[in-house]
Amino acid sequence: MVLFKLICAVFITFFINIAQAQVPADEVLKSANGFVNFPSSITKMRMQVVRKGKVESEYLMNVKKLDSERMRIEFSLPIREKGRRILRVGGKMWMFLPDLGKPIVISARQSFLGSSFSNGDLLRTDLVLDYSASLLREEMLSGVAVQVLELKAKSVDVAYDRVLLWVDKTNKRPIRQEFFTLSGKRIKVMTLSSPLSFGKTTANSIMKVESDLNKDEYTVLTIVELSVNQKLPAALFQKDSFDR
Amino acid sequence: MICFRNFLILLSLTTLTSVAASAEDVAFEYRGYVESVFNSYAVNSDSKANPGNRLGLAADDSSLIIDFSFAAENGPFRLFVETYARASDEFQDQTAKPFQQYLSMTNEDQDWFFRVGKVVPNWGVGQIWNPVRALSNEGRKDLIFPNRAIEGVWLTQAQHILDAESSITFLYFPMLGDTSDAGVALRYSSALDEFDYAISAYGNSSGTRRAGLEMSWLLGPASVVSELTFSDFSEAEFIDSDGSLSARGNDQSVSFLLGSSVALPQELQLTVEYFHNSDGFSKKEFDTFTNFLPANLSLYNALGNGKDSFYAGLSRRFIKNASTLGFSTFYNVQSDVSLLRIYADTQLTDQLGASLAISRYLEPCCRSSVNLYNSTVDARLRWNF
Repeated sequence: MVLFKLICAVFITFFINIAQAQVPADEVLKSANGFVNFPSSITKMRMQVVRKGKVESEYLMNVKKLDSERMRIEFSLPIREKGRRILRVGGKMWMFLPDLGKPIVISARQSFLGSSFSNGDLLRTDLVLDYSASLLREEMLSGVAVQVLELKAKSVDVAYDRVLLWVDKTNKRPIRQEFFTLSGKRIKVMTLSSPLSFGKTTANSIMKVESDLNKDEYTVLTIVELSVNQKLPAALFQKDSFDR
Repeated sequence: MICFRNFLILLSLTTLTSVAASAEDVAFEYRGYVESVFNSYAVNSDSKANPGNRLGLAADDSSLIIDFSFAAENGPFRLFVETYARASDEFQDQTAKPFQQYLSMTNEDQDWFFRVGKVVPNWGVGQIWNPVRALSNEGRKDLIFPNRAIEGVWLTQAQHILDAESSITFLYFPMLGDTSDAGVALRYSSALDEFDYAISAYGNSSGTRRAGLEMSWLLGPASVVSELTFSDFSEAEFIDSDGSLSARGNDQSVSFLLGSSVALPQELQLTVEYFHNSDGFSKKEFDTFTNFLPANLSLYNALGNGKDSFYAGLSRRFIKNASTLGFSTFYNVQSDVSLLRIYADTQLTDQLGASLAISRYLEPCCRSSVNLYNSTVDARLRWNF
């Protein structure tokens, strides 16, 4: 009986320790998520694809986000992309081309218009929903004290199996992400910088993605405008509403 | 100043393309299109107008085509007009007709949507063919733009968004003179996990009954699409490619589509589709259509009645100027006609884009009655005003 109580005590202590270890990581992730995930928002974004230091292509788009599951992107520039729309509902994505006049289903892992971003990078921005976090280590990054979180995908729908996230220890702002495949190979690095206040919301206004597969290229995503607490009808985030 | 300069460019290019298109005895047939896309103008917080939603001028060997569209919105109401005017026979014959024009309305939650007017019902999941869209007459084909390839039909539409993945749409087609039948259509669209589907039914006063099924899903890196339609033409008349009417009799038919699109490494995109229609397609119809077939992919909808047709397209996207280079081929089994097409699309500035397509029809050997152009060249400029 004494042995049984001892075993129970060890197990209880073990699980309490695990729980205590997990809570901070989840809380850090939740705080960091607040800098990149904005429900009920409309964001005007510019995307530049840079090769050998020269901007090769540039896009201007309106990103409408209802919640963590529903997002719609509408392109306004360049002119040949005007009218192109992309919709995400849960793990599914569709693209609407005005010349085609109907939605076509697309994969989250596909490259986003030839950039270093995948469709999933832009359309799945809720890290809390997609990943479970654990605190890997603490270190200094460019003179800033950071916590490094290891994020593991909760489902196979998520574009990356494993993500490392560097978070500013003082304000919990995410400043760097590294993305890994199922085989453990790192494929891209995202640097988040230039925090700006848009009303009461602070966001990293510049996101730079460098692909390990192509060192000559990188993609910069800049937030031009961000409006939160927008009234967005749920019906707008439905593929049958695409042509309206 | 910039607007004036753009206007001069528009005028010059249109003149040039008209001159090029009217040249006779050339191995290539040229078609040119210059289009401006205007930004919408906000009247106030509730209203906006897009006075020149799109203004396009096109020219082929003997005609000039003018596209104009206009949109205005006030709260939940939207008015959209798209007009197509054409001067043909060396500009002696001039026609103008609306391609699409409708008034739409939605409620605050946008889950109810009503539309009255001349509309193209964009049903279906295939990129090249859509057997389920054959709800009514497909009208005359536009020569340049794929999404304007099909003239709208007069209808009243009511659509209700049920939830994030389901919707139901009802269409009513009024009887207009002697050339059309009154009809109704119903479509329910939904999803089973990763599997999207829609079922539809159509019937008209001439006895035509049609049932359709659309499906699309992801299979690894590939998206797969399929459409299946059962038709009972009964006493129904249908519109021939030359615009005349003929009776189908009581024959029943089935048509289906199977296609896939897959993203490959190096920004390559491969799209394949196979379309079967047991109604077949007469040689006259086919020749008439191919005579008017422009070098633009989706216009192969015009060949939608071909009994067995294949399509394969491979395109590559380039970072430089957001450009695309593509190659595609089309083959119709019954006519033994194939078509090869190379096209390029690029962004000259962020406000100005250009595309060029070269198509070559390959006719079966030794056939004397074909009426196909050897090759066509389509050029298109589009910019933001």
